Amino acid sequence: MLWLGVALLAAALCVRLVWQNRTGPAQPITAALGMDDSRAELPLAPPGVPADNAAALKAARERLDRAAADTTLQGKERLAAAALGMGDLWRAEAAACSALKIAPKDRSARLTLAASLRQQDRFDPASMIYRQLIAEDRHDSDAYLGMADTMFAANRRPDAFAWLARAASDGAQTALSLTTIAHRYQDWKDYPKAEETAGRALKAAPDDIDARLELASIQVESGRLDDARHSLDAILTQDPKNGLAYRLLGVVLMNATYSRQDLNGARRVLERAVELNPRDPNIYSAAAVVYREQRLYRLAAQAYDALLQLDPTSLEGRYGLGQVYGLLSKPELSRRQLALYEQLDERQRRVTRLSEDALHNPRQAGKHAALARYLESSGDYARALPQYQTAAGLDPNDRGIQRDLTRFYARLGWGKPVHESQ
Amino acid sequence: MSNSIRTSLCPLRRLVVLILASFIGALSAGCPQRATPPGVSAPAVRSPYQFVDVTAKAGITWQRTDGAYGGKLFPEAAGGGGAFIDYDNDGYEDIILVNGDWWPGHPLTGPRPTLALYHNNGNGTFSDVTAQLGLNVSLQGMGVAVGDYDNDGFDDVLITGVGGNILFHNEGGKRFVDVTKSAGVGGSGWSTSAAWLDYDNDGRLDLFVCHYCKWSIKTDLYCGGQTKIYCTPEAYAGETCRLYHNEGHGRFKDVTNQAGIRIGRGKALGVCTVDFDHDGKTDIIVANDGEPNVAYRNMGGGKFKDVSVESGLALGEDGKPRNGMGIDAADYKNDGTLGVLIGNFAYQGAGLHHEKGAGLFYDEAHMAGIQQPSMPYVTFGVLFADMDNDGWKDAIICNGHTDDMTERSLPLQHVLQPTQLFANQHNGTFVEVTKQAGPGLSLQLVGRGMACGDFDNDGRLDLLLIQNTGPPHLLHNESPAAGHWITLLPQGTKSNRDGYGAVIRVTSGGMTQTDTVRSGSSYCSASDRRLHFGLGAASLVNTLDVVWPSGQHDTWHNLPADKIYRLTEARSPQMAIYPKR
Repeated sequence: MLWLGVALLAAALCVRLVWQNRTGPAQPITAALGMDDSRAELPLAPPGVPADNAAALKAARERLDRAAADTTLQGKERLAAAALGMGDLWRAEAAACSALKIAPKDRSARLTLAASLRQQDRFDPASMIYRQLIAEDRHDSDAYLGMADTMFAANRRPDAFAWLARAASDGAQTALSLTTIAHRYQDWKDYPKAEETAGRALKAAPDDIDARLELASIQVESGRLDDARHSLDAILTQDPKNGLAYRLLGVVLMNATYSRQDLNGARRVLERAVELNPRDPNIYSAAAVVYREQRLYRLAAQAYDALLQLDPTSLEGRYGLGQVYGLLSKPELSRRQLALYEQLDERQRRVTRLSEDALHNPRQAGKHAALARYLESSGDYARALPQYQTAAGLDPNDRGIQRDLTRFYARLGWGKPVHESQ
Repeated sequence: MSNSIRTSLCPLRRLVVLILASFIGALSAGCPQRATPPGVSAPAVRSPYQFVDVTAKAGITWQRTDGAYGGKLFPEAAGGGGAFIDYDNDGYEDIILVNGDWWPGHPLTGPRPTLALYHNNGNGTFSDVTAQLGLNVSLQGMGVAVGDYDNDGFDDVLITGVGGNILFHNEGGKRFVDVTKSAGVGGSGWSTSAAWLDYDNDGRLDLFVCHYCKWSIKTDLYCGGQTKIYCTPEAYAGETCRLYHNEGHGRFKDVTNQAGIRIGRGKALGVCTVDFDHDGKTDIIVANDGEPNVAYRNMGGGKFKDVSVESGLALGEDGKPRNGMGIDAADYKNDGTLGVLIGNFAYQGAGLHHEKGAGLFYDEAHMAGIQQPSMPYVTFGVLFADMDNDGWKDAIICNGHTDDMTERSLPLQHVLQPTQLFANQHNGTFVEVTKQAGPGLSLQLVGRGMACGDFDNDGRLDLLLIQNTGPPHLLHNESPAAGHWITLLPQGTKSNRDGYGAVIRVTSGGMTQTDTVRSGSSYCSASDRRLHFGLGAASLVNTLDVVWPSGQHDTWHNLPADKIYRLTEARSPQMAIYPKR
């Protein structure tokens, strides 16, 4: 009887262990988002494309209108920056010009105005403003960066890199400024320069966590994972609750290129990152891959589900969840997620194609209009707005574009479009 | 009493032990896999491989050019391929090499680069017969596909490249004649890998041609910083691959649209034609560079359906498109399921999508031990081939960076990279044995195309590696402990003469191997079209089973090993005897 009892106890223990290995820990990764475990098995509602956001844009516009009541210089500066942030390039331009009427040399207004013009592909006036700012203060990093961005947008890449180099050499040598420049080098895939600049930022302020994070991020992206591990360990010693550092460390540990690849370690680190920063979709994306490689498919499904809660348009999330449902022998759920993936992918492809077309032909109003029309038709009004304004600004005589812009404004409840500064 | 008690408890003890053992087994089955692939920590690595570079000894002096003279034009980094082809049916595999060309304005230095054809003299040496056979043609070439499109018994050749294709008809092994115009397969744009296949099983070979990016000298973009570097494909829009139906009488019809080949999908560099859903019809898998790979399921009636996403072949494990280059497929587990091997860019690792059900694939490169060792490299040519004749297909990947200045921006990356050999461990995993595989595989190359074939008919598969620029490398397989083997030369009668699409099962030593006769695979290259099976210790093939594209099913028994057989559809196999020279 004793043996039988032992056997049954052992069996029960084993069943539990097996079950835990198959289903994961009692606390699911999704708990941080307030999702219960069972959600991982539910198909998500198919949002597919961003919801019609006319109401959101209308509300944003109303906030800007209210802000316009503040007629002080600072109020106008704030209005211009807010308008630029929401993609209303014309409003940003108008507000900045209005601020400059009060204080013609106001740096903040000039930077906002130049950024607005650059985003409208009006490169010459934007460059002129940046040059003036540099002439007034040869250490103005923002102006150098603005010039670099303008040249990049104008497809003048050697000039863009030359201005970025000037930002690094002549701009302010503060950690913040150098970190920003390093990030731009990273974006433009010049890793040696990026690393060198981040190193200088750290020299200027050895305890600056943002600079060290930038350095670690550059090292991860350029495949220098041992160095990245070193940088991340230093950050976590200094700031043990840095969620971003945990995420990057997880990416290092899970990486097959890393000589000390450790999936269990990556899993622990990423779960810690979720605790610290539950609304970072990138953590769930990385965790899902780790779980999948460990054949913990149910946990992988939960992680993908969490990712999709935060970013319903994530292509990786849709595809990953579809694949994991397949591995969990849930073919119908798998098919539904993969169908959503295809729908999103088709839209993304079209946007990419039209965006590249506009990028390579920045002065052609028709290219921007085509992109704007497609974004509008797929419900992405926030991104359609600056494209419509750019197109209409580049060719004010194109009746088709003006008509579409008027219709678009009406759809947003914004009234007649007015390019006030023109 | 005590004895009786002990006796009565014994079964219980056994039960406990059994229960515990079964649960421990279940536990380990349910446990997470080790971080490192199981094969990596295997105590004994089997490495009976030995490759020797015999290029110079074989008399191959051709060199590939990329045409570069400072402009950093996008196609210069794409490289090209080569082919094993027995163009004169003498039983020995000859070699075709695809060259680049000078760009307009290139300084005229020496003779203009051309394609090359080397005739196999049957004694380990080759003779350059390019001009004699009419292949002294210059083009910005990339790929080569070998197939007897008019069923006259002599393999014809399609060459792809920037500007379109050239189809050469083989005139009885005496001469190649450019029939592009009359055949209607010239196309335009930038074609890369290509494959012959009989997708409608009408007995005539059709043609699938991969297309890469919309590019011209005029539209070449500036990439890089203060110095121009080679662009990545993201900078350009993709071109649509083309499918040509063989209408007979030497004419083809472009059926891309009506067949359901997706417009503008992908930037295709590799193609594999294989029946991935096992319904008897040849399907197509395309490796795309920076775009999701595409899997076309042959629906019959001349129609294909894009099943890329649902098949699991489109993306990597992380749900992101990778930079796919070469591609191959094989039953590497010898269980009737397919694995699709895809070469990708550095830090992506090669993909190995394994079939879990009819036509459903999951990337298992990590667990199979392929991903990690291939991570640092830019992989172009990929092949499955049984290099030690143990009856299990190994994997070979040919690497080389695309950015000749990569060390400047990524210090851990190198332009010159090794070709890697992965030994099949007979349990679904591989172990890299490159360093134990002889001097031939110690070369550091800017590798692109790769083909395999048994050029000296010694029963061991040799390798042909093509570099972006410079000489090719012919690696002779001198593996000392290679097992028994059988090589099969299919010859269709009702089916297309090359037998492309025929599925062959070889049973010997208690194991069944499956392979498909086909063209395409790897990167811009064509391998020996004879099927080669290693047999390990078995000196007899118990059963040889062939399902021809026509539906004809032939079965033969008890074939002695270590021989080359000609398999003619619906006839008894004949031993092919080739004269030694």
